[in-house]
Amino acid sequence: MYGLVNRAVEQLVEQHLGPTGWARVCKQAGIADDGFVAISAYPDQMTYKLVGAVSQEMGMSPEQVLEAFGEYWIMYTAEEGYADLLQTAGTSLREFLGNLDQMHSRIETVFAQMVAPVFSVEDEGPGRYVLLYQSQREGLAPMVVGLVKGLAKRFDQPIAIEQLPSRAGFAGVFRIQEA
Amino acid sequence: MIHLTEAELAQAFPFYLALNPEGQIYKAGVSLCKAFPSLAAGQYFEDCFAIVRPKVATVQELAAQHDVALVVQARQQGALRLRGNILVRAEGLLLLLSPVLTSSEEMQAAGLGMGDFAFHDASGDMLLMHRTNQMSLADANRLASRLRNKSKQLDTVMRLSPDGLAYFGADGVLNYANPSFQRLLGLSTEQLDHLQRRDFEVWLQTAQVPACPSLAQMLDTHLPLHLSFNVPYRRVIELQGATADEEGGVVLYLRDITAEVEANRLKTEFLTMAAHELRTPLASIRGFSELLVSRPVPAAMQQDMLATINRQSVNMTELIEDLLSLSKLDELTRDKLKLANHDLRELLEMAVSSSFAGADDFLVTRDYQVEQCLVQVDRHVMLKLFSSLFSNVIKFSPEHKQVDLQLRPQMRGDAAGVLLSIRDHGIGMKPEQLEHAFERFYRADHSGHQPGTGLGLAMSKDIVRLHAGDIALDSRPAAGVTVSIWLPQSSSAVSACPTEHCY
Ligand code: HEM
Repeated sequence: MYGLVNRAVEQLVEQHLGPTGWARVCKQAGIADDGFVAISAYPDQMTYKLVGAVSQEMGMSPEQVLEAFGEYWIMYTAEEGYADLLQTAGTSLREFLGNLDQMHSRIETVFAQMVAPVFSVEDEGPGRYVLLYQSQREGLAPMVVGLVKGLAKRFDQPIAIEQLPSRAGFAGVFRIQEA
Repeated sequence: MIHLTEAELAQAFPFYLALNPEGQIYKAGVSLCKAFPSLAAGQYFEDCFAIVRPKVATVQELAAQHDVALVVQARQQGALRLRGNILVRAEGLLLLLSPVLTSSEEMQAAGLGMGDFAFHDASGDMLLMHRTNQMSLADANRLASRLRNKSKQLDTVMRLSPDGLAYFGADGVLNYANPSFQRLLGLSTEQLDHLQRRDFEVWLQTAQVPACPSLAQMLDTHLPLHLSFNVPYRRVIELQGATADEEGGVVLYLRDITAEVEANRLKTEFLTMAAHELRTPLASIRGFSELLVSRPVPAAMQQDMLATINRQSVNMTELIEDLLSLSKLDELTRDKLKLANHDLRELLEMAVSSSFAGADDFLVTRDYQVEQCLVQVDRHVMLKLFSSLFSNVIKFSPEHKQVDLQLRPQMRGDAAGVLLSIRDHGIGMKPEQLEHAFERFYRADHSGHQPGTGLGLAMSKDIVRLHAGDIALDSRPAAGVTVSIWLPQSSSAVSACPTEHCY
C-alpha cells in the first residue's frame, strides 16, 4: 500500500506509544523505523506486518487495530491532507458513502498504482442503508467499520453499524442505521 | 454539429464567460460567479479582467486570436488568474475558462472547493497531486533527517569504538576508517587518504609478521585473521571482514587482542613455571627422604639431609602461600578492600621494624617531605606489600646494606597524591631483567642462589593497582633498585583513622 497508509499507522502509534513505541513496533514487524514516503508504494505485506506488530504492542486484536486505524484515518490523515476532497464528497454520511468511488477515482490520478476499493450503497429505508465493499485485499473489513464510524463523527451523525454476512464477490457488507 | 444546452455548458465549463460584441458580460458559469460574487450582467469584461495573453489591446481583438491560449487576470479578487479557450460566436465571445491554482490554500482563498471544478478538469487532481507531493517531500525530509541522525549516532559510536572499522567501497577505495582503525594499524592519515584495497593488502603482507592469508581468502572463509605487529609496539590484532552491500563494498573490523593473547600466554607460562617451581624442592625432598628410608646414613649426614628437607618444604609452603595470596589478589576487587585512612609514614615504620628486625646491620634512611600523609588503603594488604618489597631489598643487598625511604607529594593530573620511593644499593637489575620484573615467576637470578618465589613484584603491582596507584622500577646493575609507588591521597584528611583502631 502507499506510504500514505503506512505513515498514518506510524502517526497513530506515535500518538499512543510515543517514538520509542513506534521503534518497538517496527522492530517487531522487522522493518526499518526510518518512516515512509506518502507517494511511494510499499508491499502490502508490510502494512499487514505493521498491523500485527501494533496489535501485539497495544494488546489489541488485529481487527480492533484496523478499526481504530480507520477512524484515525478520517479524523486526522484525510483531514490533514485531503480536507478539500472530503468536503466535495458530501454533506451527510449517506451522500458521502454514495460518492466514495468518485472520491477514490480522483485519488487514483495521484496514486497511480493504487488498488482502490469499490463501494456501493443500497437504501433500505429512511436513515437505513447497506454499504457494500469490494476489495482485492483480504481482511480489511474491520477498517471499513472504523472509517464509517469516523465519517459519522465528522458529520456529527450518531449511527449504529453492523457487519452482515458477506455476499459472494464482496469483502464486506455493512448495515448502517442512523440514530 | 454538436450542440450543448446552456445547462450542459454550465456543467462542463463552470467557469465560462459569455460576452456580447461590445465586450459586456451577459452570462457566467456558476463556479465563476462563486469566485466573483460581485460579477453582474452588463459589466464590461475589461473592467473586471486584464488580458495577460495574447497581447491585445481590446477584447474585440480576441476574436481574431481564437486559436491561442487565453490568460486573464482578475482586477480584484486576489488577482486570480484564469486560463482557457476563446470561442467566437455570432452572439459574441464564449470564454471557456478555469482558474490557475497551485495549491489548496489558493483554491480556498478564491472561495472555491474541489466540487466547483468539472470532472474533466484536472485542476483538482493537480491540487491533490501538489498536496501529496508536499506531504511526500516532508516525509522524505523527515526520513533523511532520521537517517542523518542515525548515521551521526553510528559515527559517534564508531569514533569512540576501541575497535577498528573501515569500509572499502565497491571501487576498491577506502571510504571510511575510524580513528581506532588508524591507530591499531599504525597508519598515517596520508596513507589512509584514497587508500586502495590492493595497496592495503600489499601493506598488510609486508607490515606484519608472519604474513597472513589474503583479504580475499578471509572474506571467502569468514575466518578471522590474527595479525602480529612489532612496530611501533608489539600487538596482536584480529581482523574480520564481511561483504557490506550488494555493490561489493567490504567492511573490515579490527580488534586488539594483545591482552587476551598475552593473558593466555601468561597463564600457560604460569602453570608451567608453578609446576616447575614446585617440582624442584619436591625432587630434593623426595630424593633425600628415599635415601634416609632405604639405607642407613651417618648421623651427621642425616642431620644435613633433614635440614635440606626442612628448608625445601619451608620453601614450598612459602611458594604455595604466595600462590594462594596471588589467586586471592586476582579475585580481590577494589570494593572488597577494607579501605580506611592511614598515615603512610606509620605504615612504613611498622613494616620497617618488622622486616629489618633480623637485619640490625641495615641502615634505613628517611626523607619524608610530607607532614602527615593520609592515604586510603587496606592496612593489611599494604603491610604485606611493604614487607615483600623490604624482603627483596634485604635479599638483593648482600654488601651495601642501606635502604633510603623517601615520601614527597606529587600530583597526577588533577589528583593529589604521594610518591614513595624505596631505594636500595644492592646488585641492581639489567634492562632486560627490569623489563620482565613484574611478570609472575620471573626471577632476575636464575642461579637458584636466591630463595623466593618470583611472585613478589607481580603481587606488588596488583596491590598498588587495586589502590588506584601505580608502581615503577628503576635500576642499573650494581647501582641498586628504586621502587617508586604513587598513591592517591585521601581527600578527607579529617576522617583520619583514630590511632587506637589502626593498629
Ligand atoms: C481523502 C481521503 C482518502 C484518501 C486520500 C484515500 C486514499 C487511499 C489510499 C492511498 C489507499 C491505498 C490503496 C493502495 O495503496 O493500493 C486507500 C485504500 C482504502 N481506502 Fe481510501 N482514501 C480516502 C478516504 C477513504 C474513505 C473515506 C474510505 C471509506 C470507506 C476509504 C476506504 C478505503 C479502503 C477500505 C481502502 C483499502 C483498500 C482495499 O480494500 O484494497 N478511503 N485509500
